[in-house]
Amino acid sequence: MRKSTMKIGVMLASAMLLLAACSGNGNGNANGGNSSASPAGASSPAASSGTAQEGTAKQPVELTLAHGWTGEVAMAAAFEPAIDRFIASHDYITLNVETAPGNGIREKIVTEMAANDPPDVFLHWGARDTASYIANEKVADLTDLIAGDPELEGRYIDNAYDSVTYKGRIYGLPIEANMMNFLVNTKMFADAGIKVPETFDELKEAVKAFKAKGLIPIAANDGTTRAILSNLNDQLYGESVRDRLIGKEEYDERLVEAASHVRELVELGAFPEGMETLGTLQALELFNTGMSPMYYQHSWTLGSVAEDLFDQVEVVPFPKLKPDGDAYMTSGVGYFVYISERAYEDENKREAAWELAKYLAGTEVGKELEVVSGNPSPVVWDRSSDMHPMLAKAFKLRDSGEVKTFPDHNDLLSAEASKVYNDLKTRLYLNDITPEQYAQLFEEGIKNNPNPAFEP
Amino acid sequence: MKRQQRLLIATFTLPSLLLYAYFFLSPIGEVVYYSFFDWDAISPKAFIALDNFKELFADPVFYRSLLNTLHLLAFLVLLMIPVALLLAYLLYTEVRAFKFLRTVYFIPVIVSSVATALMFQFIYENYFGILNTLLRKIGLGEYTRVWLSDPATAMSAVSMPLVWGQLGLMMIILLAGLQGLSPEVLEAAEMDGANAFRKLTRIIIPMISGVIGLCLVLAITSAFKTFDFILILTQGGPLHRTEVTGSYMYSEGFNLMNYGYGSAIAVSIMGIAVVISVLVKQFSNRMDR
Repeated sequence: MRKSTMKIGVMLASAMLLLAACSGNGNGNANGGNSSASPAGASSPAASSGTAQEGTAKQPVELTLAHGWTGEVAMAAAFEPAIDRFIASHDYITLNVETAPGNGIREKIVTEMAANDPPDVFLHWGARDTASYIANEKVADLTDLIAGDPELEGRYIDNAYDSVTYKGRIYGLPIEANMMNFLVNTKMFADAGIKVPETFDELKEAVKAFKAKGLIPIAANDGTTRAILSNLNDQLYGESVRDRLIGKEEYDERLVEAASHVRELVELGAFPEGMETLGTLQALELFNTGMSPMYYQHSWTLGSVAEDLFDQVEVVPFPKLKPDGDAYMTSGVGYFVYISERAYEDENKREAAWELAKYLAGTEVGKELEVVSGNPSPVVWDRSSDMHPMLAKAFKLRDSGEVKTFPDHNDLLSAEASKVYNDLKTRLYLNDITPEQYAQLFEEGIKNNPNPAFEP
Repeated sequence: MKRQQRLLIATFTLPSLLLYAYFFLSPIGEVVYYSFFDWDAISPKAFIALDNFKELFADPVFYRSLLNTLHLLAFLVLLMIPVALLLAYLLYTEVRAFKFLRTVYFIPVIVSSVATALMFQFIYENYFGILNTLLRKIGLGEYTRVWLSDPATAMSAVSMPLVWGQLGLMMIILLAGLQGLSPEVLEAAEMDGANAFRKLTRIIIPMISGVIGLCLVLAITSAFKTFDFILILTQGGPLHRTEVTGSYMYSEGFNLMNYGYGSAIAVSIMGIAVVISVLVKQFSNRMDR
């Protein structure tokens, strides 16, 4: 009896040891698949402490940064080396970098927020996507830090904080600007003897002419109709579209008019067949291969325009409904650096997290994002000739005064209303609903799902 | 059995049972629990009893996804299992190069679902895809389609990668079943003058009905839990034409952060899949008898 009991005891102890060995160590570095980076000589807290005391005299601190700009994402080429530079120049900070490519960061952050273990600093979309984190005090209110920091004065373009402002408070630092750019292949237009359209009627004529030549007039995917709808509504309503998007004012027949214009383009065969199945870059491929003379998409795709087209592609204003009306360009800021409330409350971490956030959303990284990745930054700087040529053309138009700018309509809607909007535009161009139904359902979507960011 | 032996067995079994309970049973319990709440994973949970289920049973998208799942299931049952049985039978009869063919048929099983989905995306792509290009080249341009969007083809198109990916697994299971058959029975049938077709339909299929039942249960569970192919190929769109229960659950839970509602979908899927699987198993058992 005693012998077998001993055997059982030994086996149980072995099993417990095995389980203990397989489990994580419970500290911040236990995140599988993440890279933990710290400067040479500072890989242990002791080493870090020593360096810190001799160098900056700051307390050693460990931070976690989560972001999605990794892998094949164009921004990775500028952003990841920037993180390495930060690590090298801040020996008192041990930075654990966690990544999830592209939209994967959304799931990663929500999981960590739900587990009450958020990263100290992270990159994410605006308040539409983070409203729940803000409402539940998971992310830090940066309003006072921003107001009290002279370095940030005049650093960003106007309205850069709009999409990260929630009930009048600011929760993030802007890191990525966005524009919707209407690209035309001037050589294809010249070869076909067709005028580059300046008005919507000219656009329709161009669509008919290119369609007759067997081409796909506008290289588009599912998102293109949304961009066109936004632009047409900007033209029809001007600045007052903002109040309508946030539910302060009601829409009228002009919303039906905008939707009808989109249907007109669909019926003229302006878009590729099955555009709802195309990815953004697949649609660009139609433009790059000369199958389409026009393309209307997000500025992040500018870096993927074929190099041999640079000389013949121009960024022009989206055609105007009225020749004497204003041309509009969707332009705003949609991606931000956040600090978690937990890091903010920890005095030791707060300073380091703020320094990291300011660096990532700073001029140096902003410039690199534009020059290396061809991705627009909200930072104001003297843009030089080494800028990506397509991005330079887009900036030139935006800053020329030839177009008025207005943010992406999605950024002013709640997450639920944004989903309604995205579904409705698909139903509209697939002829599942009429323009009148579109207008009615869109307005209902806004009324039923108000954006909490604008509630008093 | 002596008390001491029983204690020993219990001691050895307990760790596995605890691990099973922790990793398998407790998540199911949690999902059932969350389905009674309105919860976005961040805000405090609000108990709403059966409201998620009431909403679900009035949700047309859920019914659409259920119908699409049945479409997918029909593909697996009516296409994949018969083809897998045919291939298994060919291998069982040791056709020429059967060892090589066995490996070739099994390869899709070890290819990741992401790679498989991307491959099919290249096949279906409207302008540059292999399928439409081939149709145009051989003069059948009028049969080209937007395969992943056309209401007539979308669901079948997203079903094909799952069929392709699981065919080899079903084939191996059925082959194992065939290899367990008594050769004497088949020899006796041959001596009685049964041809290959009659042997297959009158002897082999009834004798491996248990294995076929297992394949059916696997097909049912696959159909109800699939979401990866859908997510990569169409994200359930356009207009929910390719939405299946798995992708709808993922979309509600992870994209829209309706964890309570997503959990209610998961509980419903589990219930439906269990009921269908039990019915199929009972039918299979009756066939066995």
